[in-house]
This record gives sequence, C-alpha cells and structure tokens, in this order.
Amino acid sequence: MSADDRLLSAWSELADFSKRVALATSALATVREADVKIAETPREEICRIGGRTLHRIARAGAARIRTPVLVTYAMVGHWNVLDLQEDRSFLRNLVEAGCDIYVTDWGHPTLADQFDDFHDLINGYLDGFVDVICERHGLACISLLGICQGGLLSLCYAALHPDKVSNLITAVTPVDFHADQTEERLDSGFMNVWTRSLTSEDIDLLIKAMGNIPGEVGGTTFSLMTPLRTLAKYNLTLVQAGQSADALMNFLRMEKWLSDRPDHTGAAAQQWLKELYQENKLVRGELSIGGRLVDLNAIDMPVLNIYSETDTVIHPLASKALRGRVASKDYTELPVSGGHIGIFVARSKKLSNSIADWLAKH
Amino acid sequence: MTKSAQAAEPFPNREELAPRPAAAAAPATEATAADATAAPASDYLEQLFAPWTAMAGMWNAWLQTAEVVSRERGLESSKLLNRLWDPELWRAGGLAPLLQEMQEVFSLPRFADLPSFDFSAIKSSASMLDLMGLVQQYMAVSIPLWLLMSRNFQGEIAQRADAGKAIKTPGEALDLWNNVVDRTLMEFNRSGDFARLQQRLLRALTGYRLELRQFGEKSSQLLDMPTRSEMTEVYRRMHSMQRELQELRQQVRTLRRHVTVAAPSKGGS
Repeated sequence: MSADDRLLSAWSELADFSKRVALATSALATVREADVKIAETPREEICRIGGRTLHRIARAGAARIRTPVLVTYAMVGHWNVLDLQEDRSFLRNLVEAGCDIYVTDWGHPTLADQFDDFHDLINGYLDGFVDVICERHGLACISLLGICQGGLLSLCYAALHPDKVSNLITAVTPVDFHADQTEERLDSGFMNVWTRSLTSEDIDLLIKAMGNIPGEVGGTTFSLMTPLRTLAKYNLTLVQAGQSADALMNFLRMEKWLSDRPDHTGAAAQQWLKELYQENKLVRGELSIGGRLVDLNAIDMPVLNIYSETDTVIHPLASKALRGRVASKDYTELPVSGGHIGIFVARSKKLSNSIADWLAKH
Repeated sequence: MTKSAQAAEPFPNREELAPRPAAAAAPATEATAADATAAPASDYLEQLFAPWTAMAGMWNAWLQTAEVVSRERGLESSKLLNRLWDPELWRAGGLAPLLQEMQEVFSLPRFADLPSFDFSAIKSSASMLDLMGLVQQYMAVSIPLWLLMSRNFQGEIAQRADAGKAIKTPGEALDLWNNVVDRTLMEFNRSGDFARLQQRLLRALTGYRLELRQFGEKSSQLLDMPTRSEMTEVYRRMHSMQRELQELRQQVRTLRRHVTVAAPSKGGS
C-alpha cells in the first residue's frame, strides 16, 4: 500500500468515525432519563424486614415447578440487573420456564444498617423471607438460587438451615477465595489480589472511617478489573451502541444499573473482606455465623453449581471449589460462557431453561 | 461595723509588719565572748554565699529536670523530628502518622481548667498534605507506565511487520493500541507498586476523613447538633434491639408451628 493510499484510507476511516459519532449524538439527544427503565417485569412486594424487601415476580397461572425459588443477588450492585429489559430478563425467563420466583432486595443500606453482619443477613433477613415463603405455600422448605455474594449467603444458609432448603443453586459464587493463586490469570481474580495486598488493620480503618463501604469503592474496583473497557466506554462503546436505538437503550439501561451503587453494610463487608477474601475461612471450616460454624458438609440437598470460565470477577476455580466439599450426593456443575453479569443479561434463555429443567427433575 | 466601713480600714503599716531583727538577734548576743568572735564570721560567710547556694540549688533542680525530660521525651522526639527531613515521608503519606506519634510523645495529662494541647488543629492539614503527596506519587508512577505502553506498542508493531502482518489501517492500529493498554494496565494493577500505592492512598484518605470528622464533631457540638459518634451509638443500640426482635419473632413462629402440629391431635382425643 502506497503512502497516498494509506493517507486516503486514514481520512476515510476518520470521516466514517466522525459520522458514527454524529449519529450516536443524534440518537442520544432523543433520550431522556425517564425513558430508561429497568426492572419493568410486574412484581408484588410480599414483606419487609428492616430495609430489606421480599418481592415475588408476577406469573400467570400455576408454576410448572411447585417448589418456589428465592433468588438472592449480591449486596454489591442492585438485584434489578436480573430484570434489565423485557428481552434480557433472567427472572422473567425463569418465570416463563415454569418457576415461581421470589427475589431478595437488599435495598440501599444507610449508616443505620452499618452493624448488619452475615448473621443478620443470613439468620435474620434470609431466614425471615424463607419462613414467609414457606408459610404462603404451606411448605417446609424451598429452593434457593444465589448469585455471586448472594450465592455465598445462600450456601451458608443451606449449611446452617438444611431442613429449610430443598434445592440449592449457586451461580458464579466464590467458595475458595484463594483458588486464584493456583492458576494466576491476568483477566480474573483482581479482587483477590487487591484485598490480600491490604492488612487487616487497613480494612478496619476503612470501615471505621466510612461506616458502610460506599458503592463507589466497589465501582472503582470493578473498573480496575477491566481498565480499557472503563477508559473506552464513553468514546468507543457508546459510539458503537449509538448506531442503533436498541443497542443504545441496552447500553443506557446497563449504565442506569451501574450508576445505582448501593453501599455495603460495614460489618458484613468486614467479614467478607477479612474472613473470606483474606483468611479464606469458609473452605477451612472456620467461618462462624451467629456463633455457629458453617459446615459445608451439612449441605445434603441437591446442588447445581453454575460458573463461567471467562468470569473476570470471580475466578472459575473459586466457584468450582464447591465440588467435593458438600455432602450432597446429587451435585451438578454447569459451565457457561459469558461474563460475570453478561450471562444474566443475555438474550439467550439457555441458562434459565437449564435451571428450570434441573429444578423440574428435583 | 458595716462591710463598707470594714473596707475603708487602711492596710496595716508595712513597717509595723516588718520583722524585728534586733529582737530576734537578742538571744545571739547572749553567747560567750569566744563564740561572739566566730559567729559573726560564719554568719557573714553564710549570708554571702546564700544567694549562690540558692542559685546552685535552683540550677541543680533544673538540670535534673532537663535530664528527666530528655530521658522521657527528648530521645523519642529528636528521632521523630529527624524524620521530618526525610523526603520519602512527605511523598509517602507518612506525615499524618508521624504527627500521631509526636502527639503521643509530647502528650500531657489532662488539666481540668486548661485547654488540651493536642495537634488536632494541624492534623487535618497533615492528612491533606499526605493526600497531595500521594497524588504526586501516582503521577510519578503513571508517567513511566505510559512510556512502557508506548514501548510495548512499538514492539508489537515491529513484530507484526517482521511477521509480514504490518498494520494497514488506523483502525487496526487503534485496536492494537487498546490491547496493549489493556494488558499493561492489568499487569500494573496486579503489581506490588500499585498495591503499595493503593494501600497508602487508602490510609491517607481514611485518615483525612477521620480528622475531618473530629473537626466536624467539634463544630456540631458548638451548634448543639448530633454528632456522628452519637448517631453511631444510636445505630448500635437500634441494631441490638432489631436482633432481639428478630429472635423473638422466630421463637413465636416456631411456637405457632408447634401449636398447629399439636392442634389436630388435641381435636382427635
């Protein structure tokens, strides 16, 4: 290619990029904040305990799977990513696949909630919600589906109250917080590396100064995991998304979810960072919640463990570590492809159908 | 006699209050004739050297004081003050912790009617200076990082050219640049340098926030408003009560379940 050809090519690429920017700008100019809506699937508020709410996703007709499922997301980020939009709603897909879905809403913790630790989350709120669902359905036990930190909370709940859990599903859930050291990857396990670089006193100081961990701290940490995506989001990704109305709205819905960063209660964050990320107490059988040791061997109900090999937030080995640590004779692993959040906001219904089919068999 | 009349009484004459050396010296004059010759000399010498003796005693007391102060505080404080000359201290967010140590070395017991002599007035400024120093450190680290990215990028371009896959369009170059930036930043984010900087930043930020809080609490107290510490204590008590309530609710639910189970058998009997 001659120098002139190269110059011509460069100019035409620049002109094309400029045109794309103009198109994206026009598309953005037509959108208002009120137009960007998420979590639109109808739902019913069942009860509240403190600042936490139990919702039920509305369904028409009886569920194919009789045992209701309590879905618990992490405290980092809001649960409504699971219902991003009509054609990208993990919860809606589960309902359409025949499940009766309840959702734990951790709300937006304030400084009044700073002393809520794992005991409160698990033995207080989760147990209270499980009891309410059991009473509504006249059942002794229900199924739990926990995602990421919500999976860890569900796992601990199942270990402490196995009589109340009929099936346990964990999705992209960290179990062994030091497993990343076995297989160091550049694109995964940053959170593990970062927390291990701090001392126990650093974490105590952070909690003492802040009370709760501000959502922005979590947001910054996640940005550091994928630095280029963060740098290029508003100059490349947004321009690309602005080429179509659907893609733009999808981008803006994700942005809306990302901008809603609830704080993490201080006491629970302290346990999360120190006892799990730093000391890895769960797999060592040393994690104590409400004065009781969490023994994964107490989990004897059917378990479905979902993980992603391309997860940048939770190292896949950290999730796969659940194998062999539970007493359940019915343990199934389901590897999926996609990002930590990506698998729940995809259009594909493959994951929700797999979960519903597994529940139907148990 | 009224108070005002009492007040109008003049002070006693100072001459009337003055000691009477003649009367006090009277017994000395009763000494023997031989003693009478020696006594005035020794008295004279004593009187001559009295001020010097008093001065010596005073200086001795102060020397002892200096020895005690330097033993208890001097060595530590000189070590701390020497550290002020270390440039690393000013860059690495060490000023606020140093002030904390100095406060401990120089601290005095609390006096009821005197203000407390702590460094609270300057500690928040020290935390701010630490933060500013860390910003400079970040810049000192990020500049070589960008140079490294540029070198890596040039290396990739050369490699591709050698392999016969030279970059042809700006789009390809941008993609390559993005990949190089991504990889370099991810490697740096996992490095010890980054971890140390982040740790220092965390400590400086939290230290600054705690100092500001103390300052804010003092202002709140002046304005008769609730302080953060008071509210935290309220939240702690609320949390404790909520836990008790939860436990009671669970006990009630359990009892209800037992009653429900027992009720059919009662009806059957």
